[in-house]
Amino acid sequence: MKTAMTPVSLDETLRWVAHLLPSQGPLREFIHHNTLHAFQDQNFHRGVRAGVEHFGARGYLRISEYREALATGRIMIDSLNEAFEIVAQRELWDQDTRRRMWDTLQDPKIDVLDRRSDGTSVCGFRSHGWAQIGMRVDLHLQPLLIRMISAYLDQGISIWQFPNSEGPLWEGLCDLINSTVLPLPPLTQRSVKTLFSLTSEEAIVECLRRLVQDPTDWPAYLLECHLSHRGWSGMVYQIEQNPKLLIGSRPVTLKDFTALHLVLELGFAVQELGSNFSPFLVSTKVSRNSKSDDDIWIQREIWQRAFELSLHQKFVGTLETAYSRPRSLPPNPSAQMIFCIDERECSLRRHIEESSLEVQTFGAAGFFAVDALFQGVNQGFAAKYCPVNISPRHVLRERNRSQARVTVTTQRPFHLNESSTGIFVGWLATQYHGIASGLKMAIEVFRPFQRATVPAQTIEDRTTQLVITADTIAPSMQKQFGYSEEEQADRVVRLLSAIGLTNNFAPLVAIIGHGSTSVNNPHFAAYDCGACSGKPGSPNARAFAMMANAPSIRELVKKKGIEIPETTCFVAGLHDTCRDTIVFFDLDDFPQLQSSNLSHLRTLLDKCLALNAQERVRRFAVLPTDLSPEDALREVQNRSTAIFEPRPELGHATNAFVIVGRRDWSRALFLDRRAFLHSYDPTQDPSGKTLASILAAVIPVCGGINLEYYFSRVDNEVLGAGTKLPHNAAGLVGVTNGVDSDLRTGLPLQMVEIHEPVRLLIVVEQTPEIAEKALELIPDAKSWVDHEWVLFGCITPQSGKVKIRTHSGWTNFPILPIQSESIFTIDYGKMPGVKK
Amino acid sequence: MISAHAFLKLTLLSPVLGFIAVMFTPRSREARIAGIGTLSSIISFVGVFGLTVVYFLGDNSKIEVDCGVLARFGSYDLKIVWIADILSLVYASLTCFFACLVVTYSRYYLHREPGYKSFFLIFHLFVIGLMLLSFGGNFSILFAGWEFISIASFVLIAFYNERDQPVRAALFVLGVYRFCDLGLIFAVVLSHHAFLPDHSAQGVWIGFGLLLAACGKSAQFPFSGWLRKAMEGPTPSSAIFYGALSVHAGVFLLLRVAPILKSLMEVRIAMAIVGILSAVIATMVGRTESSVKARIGWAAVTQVGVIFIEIAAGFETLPLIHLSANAMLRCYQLLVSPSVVVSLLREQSSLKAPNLLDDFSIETLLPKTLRSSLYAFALSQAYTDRLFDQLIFTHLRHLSRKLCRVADSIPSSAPVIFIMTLVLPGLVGMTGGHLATSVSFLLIAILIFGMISGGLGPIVALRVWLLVGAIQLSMGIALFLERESLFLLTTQIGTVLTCIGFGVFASKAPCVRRNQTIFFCATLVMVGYPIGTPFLTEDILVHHFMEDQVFAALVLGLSCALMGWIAIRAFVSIFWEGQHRVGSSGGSKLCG
Repeated sequence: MKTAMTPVSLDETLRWVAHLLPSQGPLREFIHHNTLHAFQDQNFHRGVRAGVEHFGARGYLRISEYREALATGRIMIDSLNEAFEIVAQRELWDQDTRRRMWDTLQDPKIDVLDRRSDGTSVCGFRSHGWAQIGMRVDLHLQPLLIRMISAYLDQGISIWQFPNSEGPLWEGLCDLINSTVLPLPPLTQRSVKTLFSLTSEEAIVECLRRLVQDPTDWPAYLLECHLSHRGWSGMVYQIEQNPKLLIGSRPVTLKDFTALHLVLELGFAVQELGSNFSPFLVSTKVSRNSKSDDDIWIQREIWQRAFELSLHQKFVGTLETAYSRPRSLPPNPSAQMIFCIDERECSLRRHIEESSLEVQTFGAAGFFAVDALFQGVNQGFAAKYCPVNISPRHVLRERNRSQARVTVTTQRPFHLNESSTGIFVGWLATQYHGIASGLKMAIEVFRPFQRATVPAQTIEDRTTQLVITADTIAPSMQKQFGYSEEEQADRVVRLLSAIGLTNNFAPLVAIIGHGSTSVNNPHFAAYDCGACSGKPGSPNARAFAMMANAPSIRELVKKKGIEIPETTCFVAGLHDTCRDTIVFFDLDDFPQLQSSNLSHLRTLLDKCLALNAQERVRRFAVLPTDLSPEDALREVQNRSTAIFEPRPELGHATNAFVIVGRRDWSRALFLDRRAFLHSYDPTQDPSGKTLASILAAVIPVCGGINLEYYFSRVDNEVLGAGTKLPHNAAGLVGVTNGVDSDLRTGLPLQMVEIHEPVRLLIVVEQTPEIAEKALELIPDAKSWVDHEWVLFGCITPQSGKVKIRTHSGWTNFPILPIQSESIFTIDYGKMPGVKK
Repeated sequence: MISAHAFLKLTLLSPVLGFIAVMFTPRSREARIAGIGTLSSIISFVGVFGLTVVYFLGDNSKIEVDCGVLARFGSYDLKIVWIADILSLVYASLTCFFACLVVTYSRYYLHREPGYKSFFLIFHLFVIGLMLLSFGGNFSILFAGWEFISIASFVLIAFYNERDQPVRAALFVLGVYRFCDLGLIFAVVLSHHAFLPDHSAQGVWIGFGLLLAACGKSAQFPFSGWLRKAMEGPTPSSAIFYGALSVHAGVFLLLRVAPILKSLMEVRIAMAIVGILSAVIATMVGRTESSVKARIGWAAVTQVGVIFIEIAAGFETLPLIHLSANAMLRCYQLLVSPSVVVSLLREQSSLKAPNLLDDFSIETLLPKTLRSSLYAFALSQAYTDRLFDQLIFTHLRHLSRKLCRVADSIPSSAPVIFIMTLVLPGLVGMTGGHLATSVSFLLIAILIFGMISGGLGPIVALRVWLLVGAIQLSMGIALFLERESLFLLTTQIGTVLTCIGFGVFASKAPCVRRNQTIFFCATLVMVGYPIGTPFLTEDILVHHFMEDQVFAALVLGLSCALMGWIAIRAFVSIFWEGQHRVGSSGGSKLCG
């Protein structure tokens, strides 16, 4: 890092910088990922420290919050002891140190030291250097820089776009500056304007040469520049890496953006100091590792461990108890339902099983082994519908059922219509639309539940059909339309064997994807299925049902060892997790479907969805807790269409566990919508290969969700998106606070406020030996476990005991006596800021 | 007329009572706070509706309710007069409509927000301001309403004061507001509080003063830039302030004084020019904006520009309809602005091929040089930001740095200046100098000192703040020497000293939320916001100005306007900026 930067190493430097930027893509797709992904090659606690010292954030809750948790009993004193012991042994503390640490652990005086870290950009020399010439450069630079990059990347909010926005940023900029006769301060000053005849690379070097004294500091300086607006820099890099993220192509590069930043800096320097100045930015040595700093980090780690241990002890105890209980399975189930692994389905599954002993439920990653690019009937291009770590090759298309082509005219809602912004047309449009919008506004605010004029997100309708059969290879994309029969059978087998549904099929097998409806919500994609890259999972479910119903495919499946009886019918559905409704698709296509079975299931689902809604409203603090299921259902449905509701649903908040195993022993557990549930039959998988394929998707998807919630919760202001109330959609790529400010990455406060930041504990029903073998097969996922970004344990089928994977091998979990029944329930009444 | 009086009382009192009720409700009782808001808005609405009925049943073109003289000091009468004509009724109805709407919206939208209570408090303050503005029958009341609106605006923009950007934006907006208030103060001075001055020699000046005030509040050229900066608060506050009501307050003012303007051709021409410039520039800049709220803001400015033209052309009803329509449309657009992402993305994903976004705009037809030049012009926001930033703030910054060095070199300069401030008016008064000029001269000298050192950290800021108190005291003394109103002097001294006491006490622990509120209120009283005697003192001083003292009036207006800005700048520096520097406590809302 400390070497002089030549143009050759500029690319390398920028790659290094980019690695340390947030990696969130445009709003269109929301993929949960570890906020501190750049530090994931270190152990969790070390990585958190490195990460937050880099970003200038908090990596844990405030110590005062932990202390409060101890006081309320959320942290058990035994767990605190245990956590202390683990750390003490690792650090090899002597008796004195032990006593000192234990004493300070609960001392409120430490709160003054418990500050947010300062972060690279604050400690660095950029702001320091500029302050020396008496200028807070970001006050001047950021508005203009952000206005320009936002105008360039904009996907359709502005009417008059950045000149030549289809071309590279730097070219467009040079073009603009060289052809304008009106000034664009500070870029049109004479000594700056000459830079616009250079390439972006030359311009960067030239600017750095004139600003920064020592060339060895250039890389560090570039990092600080980008960290000062890291949301936009990160977005630029994401788009550079994957231009398909945007609909309108923007061939932007981080290099061009760096050049733009630096010429602006140079411009302001020239403006302040005149055109002849010597480089004034000198790196300063900042030492940060003081002893007290180390202490406080250790303390935070102990608290966090205790916080997690307390929860895990209860959880593990419950699991072991449940495992030892006698199990009952319906011998002849009337229906089987396969849900997404998502923890929001956890409660619905329990309600279904409690309401009917004849229905069996399964959990699988919500793309149902159908790795697809999906192109809807009204969509011009295909989008990815599978987990983030898979690159799909197959394109699923949708077509209209009726031959008559239904042309859907998408009409832009008039309130966003550009005609009302001009002078002459705007004059008329304002008069005309003004009164109308007054009425609409009144209706939507005072009687919001009648209908939503701002259309909710599409959930596919039933007039269409999927095309899954293989077609010619589309030459342009190197992708394949549809799946060959062999490939289809392969997917059917993959899912069914993964969840252990290989015999005893019910007459009806429902595959239920999930999506979410909300209005007035830029983060809509974050509520959809995480295993489908932030989209509703219905196409995957529909494709799977079609595959599994086709007789020819069943033949092939049979050859692979799974016999599906002829009477069995697969149907696909979509669960709207916000409105708590389920719709089924393509029912007319399957002759073997017996309508009585389905109507029976529908009645059951209606009841269970209402119960599920009732369980959910408990967490919305404004609602009464004693609502009947029907009222609760109405409430959650109203929520989804109200324009003033910032919390249509609570998303993945409170997620904490993953259970991979048979459902028969976990079905009676009340897990309070906190566990991702994946079905898996350990008896059918002696080699661990099936487990490996499950974990390959589960660890990055669920781990990404969990860690994004974790970091957005512990420091919502820096690592999350802050409160969504003042958010403003910028260029359709992201949200900002107000105007001309940095993009806010991560999750908004309203999504994470009730989340308990704990790492995910994955418990697999399998022996440690086989689990270890499975992990060996998937090195990428294994590194999450090795570095403890997710915690991993096994519940051994023979003994029913849970073992946890640690550095020193598999250890038994210390079980403490369980105090109360409702152990997983968060006390919402005591959350800060909750009012009734 | 009895019934009109009753309805008026209902309309005016319900937001005041609502404000008080919210103030005494604990922060955790969200439902009750929102309930009070809803109730007071509905009662106001009923009041306005009743007034409207009375108005249409009667034959007069306006209802005047004279509440008589509240206080008399020498030749100065503090009169309370209310007017309800078609203009006030329309504006007040709009106010009540939006109030009901935004209360309902915010009740859910702000759930669990730490500033839930403050939002509703400020909201009530805002409604009070608009009601005073709508029904005020003389300039004193109208000015009071005007100032309530500014201060509510300021607090809501800085709603998230734990971050740096909203605070800076709020100060910027307040700066623009105060600067333009100068125009209003100036007009008030010259017209001696009456809407219809009988001496028309000064008419042109009054007209220009009012135009300046209206331009500032309604974000017209060259002040348009503040509107987009103001979009920092929660979405519903942006909607009601910058989409709907606050941005049209300037229009209301112009309509209110339309009878005066009728005969002033120069002012009307200027108004039309301002309107045209604003409309053209706002359209252009707005077309290049890539964030939703900014685009809506510019669209609002464009239409207000057109309304200015309509008023200049002498229309009476058309601007009123246009105003209502524009307010409703922009308010709605802002309220649903987050949905733009879903709407546009859906529209785009239905395109038959990627990369076919509608990049066409009328500008692409222009020749390249012109196109680039116009884009550069729009990208620099028509240079208005730069105008303020470079011409005013940069120079002041340099000046302040120099003066600070001087001040630092003189030991204990602050007490000296403080004492001088107190003694000088007396000296000047005794030598028989002209009251107005001497006071003004003094004020401006001190204010320059205050202004330049306002942003230099909490300790200096507190010193500056104390100086503002000294100025108020000296104003009281000056008035006493001239008119010998001992009562006023004592109350003035009492008020200011109390404020100083409270303020100094509060500034000791800037992290405590209550201290913030106390200091803020003390500041408002001290700088002459219409909630204390300093307001009265200023008003009476203004009253005693002679018609020929245009220059002196200008200076007094300027110093009053600046004083407000400085004192609040000092408040920000003591209470809000500290937390940005520490950057760790997570904001005052959490540490209190």
